[in-house]
Amino acid sequence: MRPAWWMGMRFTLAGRNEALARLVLTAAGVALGVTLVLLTLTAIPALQGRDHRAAWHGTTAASPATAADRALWLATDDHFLGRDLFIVRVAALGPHPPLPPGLTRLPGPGQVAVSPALSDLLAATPADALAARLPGTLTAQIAADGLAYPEELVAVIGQQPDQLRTAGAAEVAGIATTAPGLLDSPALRVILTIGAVGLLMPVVIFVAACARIAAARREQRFAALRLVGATRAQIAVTAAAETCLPAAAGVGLGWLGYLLARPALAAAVTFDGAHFMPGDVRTPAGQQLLVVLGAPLLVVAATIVGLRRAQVSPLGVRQRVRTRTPRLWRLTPVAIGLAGLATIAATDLTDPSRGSVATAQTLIGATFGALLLGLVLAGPLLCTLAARLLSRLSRRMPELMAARRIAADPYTTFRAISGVAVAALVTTMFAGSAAGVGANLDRPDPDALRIDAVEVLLAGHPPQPLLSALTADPGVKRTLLARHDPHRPHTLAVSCVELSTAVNLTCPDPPSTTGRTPEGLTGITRLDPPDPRLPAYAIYVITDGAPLTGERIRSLAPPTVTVSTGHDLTELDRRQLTELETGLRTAMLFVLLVAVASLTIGVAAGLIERRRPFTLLRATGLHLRELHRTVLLETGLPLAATTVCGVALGLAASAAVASATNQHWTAPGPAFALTVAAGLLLTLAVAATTLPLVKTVTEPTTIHFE
Amino acid sequence: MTVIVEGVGLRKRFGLTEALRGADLAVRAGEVVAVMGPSGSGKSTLLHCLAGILRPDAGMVAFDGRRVDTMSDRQRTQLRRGAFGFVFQFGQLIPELTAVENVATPLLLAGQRRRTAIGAARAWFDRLGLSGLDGRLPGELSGGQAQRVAVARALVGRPRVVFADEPTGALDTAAGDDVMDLLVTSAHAQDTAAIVVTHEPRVAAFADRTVLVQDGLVDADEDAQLGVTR
Repeated sequence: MRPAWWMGMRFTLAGRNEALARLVLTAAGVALGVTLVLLTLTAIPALQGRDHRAAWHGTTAASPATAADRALWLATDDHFLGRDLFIVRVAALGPHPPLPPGLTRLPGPGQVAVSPALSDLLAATPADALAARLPGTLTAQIAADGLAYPEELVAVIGQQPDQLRTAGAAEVAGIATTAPGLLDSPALRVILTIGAVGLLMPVVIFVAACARIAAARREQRFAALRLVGATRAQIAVTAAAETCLPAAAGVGLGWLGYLLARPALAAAVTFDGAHFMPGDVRTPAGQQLLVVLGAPLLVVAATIVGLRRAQVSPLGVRQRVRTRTPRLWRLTPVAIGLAGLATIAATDLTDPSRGSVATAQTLIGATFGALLLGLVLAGPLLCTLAARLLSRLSRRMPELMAARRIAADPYTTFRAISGVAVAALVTTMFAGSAAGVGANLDRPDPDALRIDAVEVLLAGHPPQPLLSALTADPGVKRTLLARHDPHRPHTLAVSCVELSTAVNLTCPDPPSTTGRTPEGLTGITRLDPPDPRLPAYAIYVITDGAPLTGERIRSLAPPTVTVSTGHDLTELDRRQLTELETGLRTAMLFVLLVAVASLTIGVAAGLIERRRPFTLLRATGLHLRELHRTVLLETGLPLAATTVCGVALGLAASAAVASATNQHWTAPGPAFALTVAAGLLLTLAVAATTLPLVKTVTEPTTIHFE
Repeated sequence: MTVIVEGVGLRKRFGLTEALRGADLAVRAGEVVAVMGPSGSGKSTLLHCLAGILRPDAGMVAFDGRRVDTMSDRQRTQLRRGAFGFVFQFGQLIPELTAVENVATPLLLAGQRRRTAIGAARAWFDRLGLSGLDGRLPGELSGGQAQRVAVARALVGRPRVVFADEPTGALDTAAGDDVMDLLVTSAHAQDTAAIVVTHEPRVAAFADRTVLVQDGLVDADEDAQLGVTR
């Protein structure tokens, strides 16, 4: 096998410009793929890391002992302007109490330890809006070990044991170390896998496009070797040797790229509004080794599989089997996907009684998978149909040539543009969903707090003196006390008309006293008018709408009282939508760029392979502009056909999901249409950059015989 | 002389086209046979079937008494490597390898050490009148020079049979004569049989015997009439 290996190296290093181009581009493609895989693999460790770092938040009386003495522990989840604020009140019951991570000692009574982000926030915020919730003097800062993410707001407040016992604190012997596992769900893994595959697919297509550079010449060379007695195994070794070098270089560069991109990724990516700790954004060593060793093996295996044609016979390309016309069965996955969309549209995913979340996730995952696979499988068929139409309509040589070329090998034609088609589907699907979600966020959500309202759930606390303090706040316009009837669970005793000033609901007209559920308010009924003898349940506060008013109300409330503002949920939704938008936009830009690069290489490789017939055509009088027209049509027509299908499927998918989640579906606006048109034009413009190559490689003076 | 390569009742069809319709041909050891015939008559298909490149749909091919048509791909590859040599009209030289490396390729593939293989290949360059061109790439050689390198590559492993398909098809008269002279002289010197497909009587004249292929059949009468000994 040594001579075969030597020949492979010779072909790589001493080959012509095409060999060098293939080497460089394949290495670049592999590098990109390796970097992407390694960066994607950081997602789970990063999420697990955040989860693990937050494990101590779950400390309870049942937590295993970690210290000699005990401590009193009262943890509350608070908020500040849409950000989570974790506050724990502690009191040591001995000299060696359990210690949360990030602290060297437990704060004593009157002492407060805060995270760096909370320290900065305290300095920039009026005291009555935030500092009032943290009674005591700042004496320590919580180190990174105790933070789930860099901008986490955490406070550990030292208090007197008696004070804490009265407030209902638990006696703990240790700090919890087991992560709750909230961020490592199977659904998240599925989403990450789909995302990784979505990003990797264009890269794989790019590497395949690089491998096709001068493929005909390469196959002829292998056929010549077979003719003089090279075995299939020797050809495989030669091809493997040819691929090994760029693959190895690509893996090295890719790993370097991962090391360089990791800090940037940690600095740029946010999840749930927060960055990850840089140390957590790291692919485990075993997985790194697997990728570094596995990537070249995969590339070599793909090369050997791709050799089949050259191994058919020592006559090589002269014996090439005619490409089979794509059949109608290729539409099956799309049909399954469309059936799945119809099922999703007819399902109410918001109704938990209509099936489990896992079933809904499986249905959605399978449907989107079928649509993506369907587009990729149906692509060659679409290209063939477009070619037939062009052939039927063509009146001139360029159209006919382009139609014949597409029809002769629709698989290669589609491979070059498949990345753009897939990007069109995913982008449209997201743009359609985002338009709907955005529109829904702008509409009042039934049964939700109004934007200027605050809900204070008293949890057994008497309404006074809080009610008086609230009334004294300059930002509070009005308060409303809601009561509940102990004999009628889930019953709210409040005037519906009054409640409707704080909550989005429509009251029955005329007012009913039968306890009928008002329209828009689900899960609870009401008594109308309220009975003042019933116990207080909640205070609804109508404010001036200023965000800091809500925060002052939170500061006034006792620790165990839950305060929600109208901003909370919409802010969370908007933040997640913005994160999703940014992430997907970046991913789609990347996919489009890689797809355009593949397309350009594919067009250039096709030109180089057909230089001889094109040169002869030019020599016999075909104008250069007619060749240009042929090349552009070969790319533009299938591109337009498959992109239109991708956009249509994307719109259908977003409409189905909107229907299933009871959201109002809004078609993406003119901006999206312009983006799609601009993307198509950009793709064609980049493909057109290869046109000067047509002139260069088809100069009639280059006709020569080897 | 004993028959070294023999095809009996060879049939081969490509789609609707029947290229061979029961062709028979026997070639003796050390004999140079020219296969003539009009375009599309099946000459090249006959050559490829005899060389084990194509498997006939029916009929039998034998080399040195062994059935070739029933051999596995691996066995046929071994035959091509050790017992057969090939000269085609175009493209059989590997553009990335120098002329001497091209000639050495069969020896390298057979497992010879590189230095030995290159040394044996270089010895052919003086015989070919190509001294000083051994380090050139195929693209830097003229058509005649490239074909002479191809002849050297076909003969370097001292094969029992050389199969040549229009070896002079892309050359002018003088260069074509040079190549044929080299091929026939070297084959005779090594006692190597040669089957040369050509449509030029001038090229066929270099052979010991000429057969005519027409409509997928070897014309027996023509074989008899054209059979001449140089």
